[in-house]
Amino acid sequence: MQVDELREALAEKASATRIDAASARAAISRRVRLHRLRQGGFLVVLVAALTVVVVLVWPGSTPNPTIASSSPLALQGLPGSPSAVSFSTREHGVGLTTTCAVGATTDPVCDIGVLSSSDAGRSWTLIGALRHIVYVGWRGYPFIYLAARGTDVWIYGTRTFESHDGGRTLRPSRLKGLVLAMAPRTRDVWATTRPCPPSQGCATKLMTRRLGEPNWRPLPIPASFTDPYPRLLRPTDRVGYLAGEDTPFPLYRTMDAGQTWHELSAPHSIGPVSLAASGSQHVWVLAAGRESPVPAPAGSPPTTGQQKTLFSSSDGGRHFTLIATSSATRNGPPAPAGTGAGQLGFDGLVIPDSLAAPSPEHLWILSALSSTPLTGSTDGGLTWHPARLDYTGSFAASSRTLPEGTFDFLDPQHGWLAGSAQPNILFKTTDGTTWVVEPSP
Amino acid sequence: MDDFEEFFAATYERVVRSLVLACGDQDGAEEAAQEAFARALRRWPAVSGMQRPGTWVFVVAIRYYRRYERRRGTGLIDGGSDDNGGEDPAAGVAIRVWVNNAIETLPKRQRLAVVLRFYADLSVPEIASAMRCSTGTVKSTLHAALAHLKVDLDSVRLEGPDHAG
Repeated sequence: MQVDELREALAEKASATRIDAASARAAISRRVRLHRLRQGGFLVVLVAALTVVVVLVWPGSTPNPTIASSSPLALQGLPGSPSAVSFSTREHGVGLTTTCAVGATTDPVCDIGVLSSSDAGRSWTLIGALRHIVYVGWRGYPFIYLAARGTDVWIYGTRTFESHDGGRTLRPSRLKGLVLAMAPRTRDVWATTRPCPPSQGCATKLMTRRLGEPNWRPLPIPASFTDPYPRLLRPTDRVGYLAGEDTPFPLYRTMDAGQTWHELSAPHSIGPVSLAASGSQHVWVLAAGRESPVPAPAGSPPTTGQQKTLFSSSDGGRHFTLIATSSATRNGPPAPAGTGAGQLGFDGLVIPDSLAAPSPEHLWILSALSSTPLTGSTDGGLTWHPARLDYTGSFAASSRTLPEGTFDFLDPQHGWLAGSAQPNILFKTTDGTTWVVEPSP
Repeated sequence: MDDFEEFFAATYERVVRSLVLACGDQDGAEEAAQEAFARALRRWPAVSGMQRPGTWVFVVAIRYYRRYERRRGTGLIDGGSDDNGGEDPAAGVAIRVWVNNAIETLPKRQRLAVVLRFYADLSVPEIASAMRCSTGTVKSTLHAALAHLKVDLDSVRLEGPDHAG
């Protein structure tokens, strides 16, 4: 046997040890505090000991959250189906599951879990969990999103946690502040951070970190970018888009891995915007008006008066062309004559991030409060067709609309759509056309 | 390395895994590692200025573990026999499986030396410091362990340039 084989065997054997690093870090802090106590006088010891007791007992005051990594993990109130997924292969993926107690005047407290699937989403197992996470000073439901690349998993948003073993052990990230956009690629990950909530004004930073390295470092960000809801797209390692929600719609592109940014002349928008990109040149903007509910006939699904317009660019965003538009109401007037634009023939509301472009030809739009919540195109957005979603089980009994959902595509044929409904529901396509619910009934 | 959090994130798991590999006792390994990192945190200005603060933590953790075992009355690291007590691997068994089993049959002292050298990447002098013995003793211990593991000794450089951080 060669010594390298011995090294590999040792590394493999060592990797079987489950380590709760976050709890260990808290224990180390306690040891340091206790050491200092022993060096002090009795009164100091008494006062400080009370502090330590409070720190140990008070659930929200521990310096690091409880990281559960012992096996087997129990769901204990966490939904068993993910609200967001990220697949690294056609079989293997991770999912996010959360449950929060949110009060009007109290800090939200959440349990967050990482689910794992090795059968393309048919079944999920809880492999890591963050219990009793307190979002100190936050009001309302906290932002909690998922990003993953290989064994690196981030749970980001109001607070950010990271894992480097596929989600089994999670620890607080060194990335501080509100993280509303994260975009991992093959070699590095980008994230936007803000030190204040979206309702307050403060500067957004763009940070990057090479995969496998601990340190985040800033990337330049356009000085004119002040949008409180930044979004990132990285169709390639070097090409990236930075967008917001303001009116006019701020849109910037980099072609040198974030070193320089150029402002693009984005299409006019009066409301939420979705952005999608495929490859280095193709980019789409789905502009939508503000919600304006329209009374629906009895027995028919609710509808809205939201105007939706799809633009596309095949030159990296330098020029946009009107591709398709919807009527302002379900039975309203079609697109203006002579524009050559197609019809977005669906009602419902589109929200940011409701557009996916797994290829320059294949597009999907998710809309809420719609009789056709998922609509697809195979010709780059010119024509659209409703997809059949296979609603079954408790989801069908409780609701038939997806208020929110996130796409994850490996290629145009293989994709997942996780709907964060009550309960969560996961759809999968293996042919790029039909979507079935997972687990299959 | 200026930041303790960064140091902890980069080093802690490796220290615990090394001790678990060497001693087979996760509770004791975590106890020793946490004490070592607590001491590093208390002395961080000095420890962070060392050329290899990770090695310092390894040494403190191993010494603490030795005392921990003495308190428990087992003394496994100090008291282990160098008699290998292992069995030859059965023909046809995958090498990885055999190595896994063979490592567990090593005497504790040999196992610790092997783990520190070939998993934690400590140098022979650093292992000698951690085990409170001479570099010659470390080398002979490693040679005995590698012979038991049937490692091709020509493929081994005991005085390698590796760094533990």
